[in-house]
Amino acid sequence: MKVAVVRVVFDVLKPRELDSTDLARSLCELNGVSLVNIVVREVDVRTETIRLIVEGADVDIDDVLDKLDEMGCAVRSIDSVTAKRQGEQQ
Amino acid sequence: MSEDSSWRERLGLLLDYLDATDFSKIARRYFALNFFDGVLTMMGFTLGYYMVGGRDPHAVFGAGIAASVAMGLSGLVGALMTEMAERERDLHELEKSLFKDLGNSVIAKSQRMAAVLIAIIDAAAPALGALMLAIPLAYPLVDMLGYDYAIAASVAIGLAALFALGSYLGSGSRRGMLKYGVAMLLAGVSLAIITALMGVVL
Repeated sequence: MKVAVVRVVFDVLKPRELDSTDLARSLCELNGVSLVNIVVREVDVRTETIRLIVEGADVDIDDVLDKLDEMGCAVRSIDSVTAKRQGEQQ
Repeated sequence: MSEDSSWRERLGLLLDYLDATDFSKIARRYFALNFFDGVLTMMGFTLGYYMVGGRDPHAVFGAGIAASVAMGLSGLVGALMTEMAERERDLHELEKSLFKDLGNSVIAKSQRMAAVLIAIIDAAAPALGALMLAIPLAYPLVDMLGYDYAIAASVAIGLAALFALGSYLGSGSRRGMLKYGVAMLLAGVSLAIITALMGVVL
């Protein structure tokens, strides 16, 4: 039975030029991702610290990290991961 | 996600980043400044040549085209080097803030793209301005227009272009299109008066 990651919470430092909406849209287009939530926690001159929550049926953490890297974001930590066994009866 | 939509998404992201880096504002400023330079330089050259007694259409047309190309090349190289250096510096500052190498990120790509696009605008604007004024000067070469009329047409196009540029700049400001258009036109008229006086003195 497959175990899938369904929710990951990241602590991310992103450039201010990068719009949170663009970031959320880009992440939401990844395979297995169905919901992205971004909360700005701290604003600096050039950067913003955000809490990024990625949810979906099967979130590939490496894909998310690659996308964040491509968009110029620095991941400081992964604060929470939720995994779920697929096909399990409730 | 298909390859095509992924490519489109990346391009969209690049364009969004370009927008965020004030690209359109800088490009507009570069265009206006350099178009103005191109028109005024060409007008000054044409009028100056005419006022000191130059009557060779080949010379004025050839030198005018050469000046347009020179201004274009100068703009291309100058703007490319300046923009690249400035944007590299900005990127380096951001890298220090993020503690991260941004070499392959969409930010670095959009900064490079912005530098190249601005350089192209910086090259095209003065060359376009100067070429517009050089076009009537080609007519005497094929006997389609008298030399004096060609000079007058070139200057008229220059003044109209200055007025249009002023109006374009004024359209985005609160002071109004007419005011900016007239101010630009006055710059052209002042140049005509100065070159006329130089023709008398020299």
